[in-house]
Amino acid sequence: MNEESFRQLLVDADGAAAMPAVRADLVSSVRHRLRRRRQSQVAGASIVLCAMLAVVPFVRMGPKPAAMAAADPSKARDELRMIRLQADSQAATINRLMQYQHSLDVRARSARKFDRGQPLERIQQQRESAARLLTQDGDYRRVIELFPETHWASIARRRLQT
Amino acid sequence: MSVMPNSNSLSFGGLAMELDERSLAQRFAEGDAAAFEAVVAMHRPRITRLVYRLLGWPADVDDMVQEVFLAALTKCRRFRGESALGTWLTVIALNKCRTHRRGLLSRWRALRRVSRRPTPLQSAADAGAMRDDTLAQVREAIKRLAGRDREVIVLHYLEDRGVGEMAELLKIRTNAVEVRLHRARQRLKKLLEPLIEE
Repeated sequence: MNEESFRQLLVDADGAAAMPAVRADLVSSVRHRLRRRRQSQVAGASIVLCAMLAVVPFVRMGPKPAAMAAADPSKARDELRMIRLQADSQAATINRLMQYQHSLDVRARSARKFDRGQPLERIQQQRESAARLLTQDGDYRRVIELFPETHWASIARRRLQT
Repeated sequence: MSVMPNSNSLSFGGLAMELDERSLAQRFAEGDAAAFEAVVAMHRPRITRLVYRLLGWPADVDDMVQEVFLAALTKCRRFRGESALGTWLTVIALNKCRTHRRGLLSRWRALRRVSRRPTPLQSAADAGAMRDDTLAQVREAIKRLAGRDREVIVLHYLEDRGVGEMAELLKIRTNAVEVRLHRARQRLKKLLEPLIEE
């Protein structure tokens, strides 16, 4: 089949098909369709907007400390007081930790000295240490009785007088 | 001497028509309601025929023609006059028909998945009415072509468009149009083989 007869066959096939019926009021039906489509778009947008408006209050219910503080001075003061208390508590904890570390260092130093010292000095250090423990326990009379010449005995005497 | 005035009047007539179409296109692009009516009146028969052919000669093309002109109406302000109004409308019609075919194809696939049985694209009533008619078989063969093949066949053989014009409409190069047309022709001839042998 050559090109021309092929073309003719297609043209004949097309020509044999009945022309479709198209409505006479095409312009008005297109405009009507456009109006309907716009209405449905507006309706869709309204539904989305309503849904968003319904959701917004729930979203805004979440706490916003900064905004709340700015809105209410008394709440801001309370909040500041709480922050200060927390800061003080943390500072006290740090101080205690530092004191504990210092006491560990002192003990380590004294232990090293003790290891290096002479037998008489060691005995004297042991007496001082025992006197310190008794003083810390509040047993001042026993400190004075057992270790009267130690530094801790003089502290115990002072505390008994006061 | 008598020929000259006729020739001049013809060329003036052509120019006047061109100016008319240009001013109509401009008014249409500005959203003029009367211009839209004129555009519909001017291009409706051609667009209807094109849609009819591209969709495979269905019984009802009214809906698709409305969709084409609705798209033209909503996009009229985007028409910059870079091409003729007729070309612009043809491109809209081509795109609308492609979208429609894709929709049909996806629906057909969904049905096929449900029924687990291949279903012909045309209705049984259509197929029954066309079966005995040779020309109906030719139309059926065109209808069976893939969308892009059918487009080039319809544009070239039925709309009588040249390769350059088709390249502009389909937004592809001329050599691509030639390749596509060649392949579509081969496929259609293969589908028509039993008919041609008769």
